[in-house]
Amino acid sequence: MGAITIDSLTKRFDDVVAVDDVSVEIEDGEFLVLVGPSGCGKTTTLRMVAGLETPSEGAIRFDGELVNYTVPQDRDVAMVFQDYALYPHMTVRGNLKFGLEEEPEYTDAERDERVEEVAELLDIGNLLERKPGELSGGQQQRVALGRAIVRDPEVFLMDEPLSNLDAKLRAQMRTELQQLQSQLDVTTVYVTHDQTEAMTMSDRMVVMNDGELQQVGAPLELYHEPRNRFVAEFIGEPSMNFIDGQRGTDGFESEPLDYPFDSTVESSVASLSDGDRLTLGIRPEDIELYDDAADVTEGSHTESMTVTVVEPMGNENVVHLSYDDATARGDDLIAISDGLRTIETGAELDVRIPPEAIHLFDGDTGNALHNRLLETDEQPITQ
Amino acid sequence: MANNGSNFDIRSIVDGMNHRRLGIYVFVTVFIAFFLVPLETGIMTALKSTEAINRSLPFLPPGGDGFTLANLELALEQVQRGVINSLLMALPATIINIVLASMAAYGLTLVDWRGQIGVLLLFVAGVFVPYQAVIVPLARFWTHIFPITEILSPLARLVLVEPYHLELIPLMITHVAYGIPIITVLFRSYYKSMPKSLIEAGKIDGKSVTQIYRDIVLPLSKPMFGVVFIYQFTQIYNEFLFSKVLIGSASAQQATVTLILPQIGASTSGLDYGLRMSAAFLAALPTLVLYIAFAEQFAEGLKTGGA
Amino acid sequence: MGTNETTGPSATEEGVGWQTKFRYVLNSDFVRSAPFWAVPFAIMAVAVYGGIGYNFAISLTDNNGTIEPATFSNLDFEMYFQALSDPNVIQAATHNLILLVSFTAICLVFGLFLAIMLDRQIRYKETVQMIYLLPMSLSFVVTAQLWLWMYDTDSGIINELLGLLSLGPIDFIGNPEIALWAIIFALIWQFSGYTMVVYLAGLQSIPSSQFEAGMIDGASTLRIYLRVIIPQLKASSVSAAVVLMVFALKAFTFLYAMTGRYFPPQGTDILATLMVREAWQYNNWAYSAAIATLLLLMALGVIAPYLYYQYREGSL
Repeated sequence: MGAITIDSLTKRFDDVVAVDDVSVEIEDGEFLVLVGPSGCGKTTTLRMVAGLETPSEGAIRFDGELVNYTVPQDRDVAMVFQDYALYPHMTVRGNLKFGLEEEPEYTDAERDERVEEVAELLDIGNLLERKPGELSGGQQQRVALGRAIVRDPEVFLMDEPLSNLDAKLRAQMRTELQQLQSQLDVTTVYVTHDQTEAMTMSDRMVVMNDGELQQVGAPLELYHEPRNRFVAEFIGEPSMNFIDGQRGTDGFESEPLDYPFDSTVESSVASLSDGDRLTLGIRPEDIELYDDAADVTEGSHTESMTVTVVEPMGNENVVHLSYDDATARGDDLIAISDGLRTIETGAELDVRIPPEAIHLFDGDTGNALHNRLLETDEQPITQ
Repeated sequence: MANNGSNFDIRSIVDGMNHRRLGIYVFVTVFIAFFLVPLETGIMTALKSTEAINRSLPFLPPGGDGFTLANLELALEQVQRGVINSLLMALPATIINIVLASMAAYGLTLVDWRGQIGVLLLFVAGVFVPYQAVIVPLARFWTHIFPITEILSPLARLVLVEPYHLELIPLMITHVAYGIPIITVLFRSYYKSMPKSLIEAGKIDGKSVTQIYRDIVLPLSKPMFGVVFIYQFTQIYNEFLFSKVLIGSASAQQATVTLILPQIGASTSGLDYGLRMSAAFLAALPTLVLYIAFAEQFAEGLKTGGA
Repeated sequence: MGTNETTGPSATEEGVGWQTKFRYVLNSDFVRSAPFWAVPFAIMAVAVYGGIGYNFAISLTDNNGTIEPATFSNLDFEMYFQALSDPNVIQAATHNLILLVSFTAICLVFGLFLAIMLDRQIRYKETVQMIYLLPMSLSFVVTAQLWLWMYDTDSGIINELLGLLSLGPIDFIGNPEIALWAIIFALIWQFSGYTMVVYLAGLQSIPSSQFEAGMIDGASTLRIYLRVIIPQLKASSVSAAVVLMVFALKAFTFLYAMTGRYFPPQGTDILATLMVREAWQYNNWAYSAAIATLLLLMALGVIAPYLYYQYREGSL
């Protein structure tokens, strides 16, 4: 009852293209997250689904029915705003009940009942008579959520709803929101710039940049099989390491690093000729750090590097590495090591980039040529 | 600060501060006198007999037998009907004006549509148009094109309505019409600072444009209604040109207070300042009281709206 | 809708009948908000712009005498030629210009001075501000009376004080050489509180950290104001200046109330008083309408650049 089809959606503000030809199918009950840097068009997309903006081109359908020409009032959607947009002159009860007044199928007593019910669900029953100004940020957030839930809409739209909370509360609300959503089983479109939120909460996520859709998929699919360099870089914290270089005779060549390909990788880049620009990508947690090269089982993908900075996070260390060859201007690497392991700044380590974990991107277009091997996958995903 | 050189001499810093602050307070006091003296002189003069006015310094309070309320009593007699007429005209005019302007500002600010800015520009330009540019047509409009006083004349048979009350209606409508631009601009600057998401939340909650105005915007603009009421009531009550053009004579029954005041105490032998000052004080009293009670709101209106 | 839709990627507009679109337009914010702004707009437009148009039409006729329905025949610009060669008009326009420049400039400087003084942390700031702004709450009719008394030759306070210094008495209002300046002084008394309030609002929007940063850099208070604070008050200055200049053009009430007649004190006649006098004293309707149009054009010369500035800044 809440499937959404977004079809070639485009929005232009004067000369600026905010959303450029975006198409997504959203299933009923799905939790879809739109994620991207600020200005990527994710909020505009959401607002078009809400009916607050009119698409320049393209179609939005709810259950197959075109809603381009339906005003927000008639779309049966509920929205949680970034600033919550609670009506400051009404009590929490008034805020929750306000939208319900437009639902003719309820009697007034039923509306009150419904408000109580939702307030209980969100644990704000004791706040009903207060005004929003008297509530903490977290409580306001719950009221905003309650206002959306109380109307039992076909679709929830959420515009960065957690961005005004402090880190701890945000993590807590993340879990709670997820549980709520699966409990209510209502289609949810959620906009955030925070890739952690997107990864942890979504059934599927849509990565956008410059108004264009980059990739749609389940979080781990995007993490391990990014379609291009933008997605690879945007998802994951710390970011994937990238080394710019070119196709050499027997592998990847760059100033700091020559990296021979093994056969699986070789087959994905077979179409390239020598000298074509390539970017090699490797996630920090895939980099192996050895105190002594003797421990390394396979020597060919190992380089000696110097530790420049260590950021201890407790459960892990983020290790910044530099090629100790003084002439090298190449990218430094960032690796993650176990939190219990002691690594000193200035130490020299043997760094191994395992061939099964590397990604390769076209140096010009940024498109992925080769993604890492997964145990479950027999074949590398190529484009 | 001149004295906080390298040697951190605490005493000289403190002294420097004191001199500076003292200087500021001296200035502040001098200007308080500057702004109050004309008013104070007027009030003192109003309370003096003619003889005392000629004898004593104008700003000194009346002493002994120089004190009299005769001028105030006489002035009240002459000014009274003007004050009542002005209040009768200004109160409804202000209320209608601000309701209309609030609606206009809502339609032009919180609801988005193309071409809004053009309409808005006409409102803003309307704020600055000198009334001289419209008064000749205005006089003709109310006498020949739309003689509303005649049209409404049957109303004069109602209780409490005198025929001359109807003569105030053209003036009232005129004030409403020419007050709309400035008050719309005032409301617009207030509505612009209101989060847009509140309106959008209303839409998503299924509310119509009218419901959003009634249930969200109106309750939230209460403080602004206070501000514009104080501002616009003062403006309309104090206004003179429209009264002059539409009513004309100070002796007319429907004459407003600003029309009557410049004629009081004038004779061939010169001005009776005791009487004139008494009348001026009484005429200013309603807006003066309003200002003293709501100075903050008045300043707020001026700040965004202009004089 | 819905049923006859094709599902191809380009199925954007197909399948949507004009009825749907029409209903959408009817539901759109534009149509729904029209009742809100259209009624006040219509009233305002008829009054302001209809009035201006009608006034212009009258100015092209030769109407004079009693107020009667205008006869629109023999339309020409004769009245404008007459006005532009009328020495009274030229003189009034000169007075307007003096008033505009000196009144605006002094008000701005004085208001800024008051604002900076009050912006320093002084005690009873609200009360002081209230007193400074008090004259703005009074009608020009009232303040004209107050200043008439202040300037009185025989026993006005200013001449009494001058008498203590063995000066005067000076006939401030009766002497055409100085009457205009006396009136400018009185108007500054009334308006500088307004300028102060505008500047105070501007000053308060500047974060105090800028001032503190200047102090830490070792700049003197004066220097901080001159180099850091005042340049940021441009927007306040512009809007205050426009309001003051437009007022200087149309100021009528104060001058009228000084004498209680259509003739203001000698040497203070401005276009606004001249125009009203031509109309209501001499019933030269067409001629006064032409002068009013000239006045409007002068006001437009001030507000058009201002509106353009506001539009460009996006602050309309």
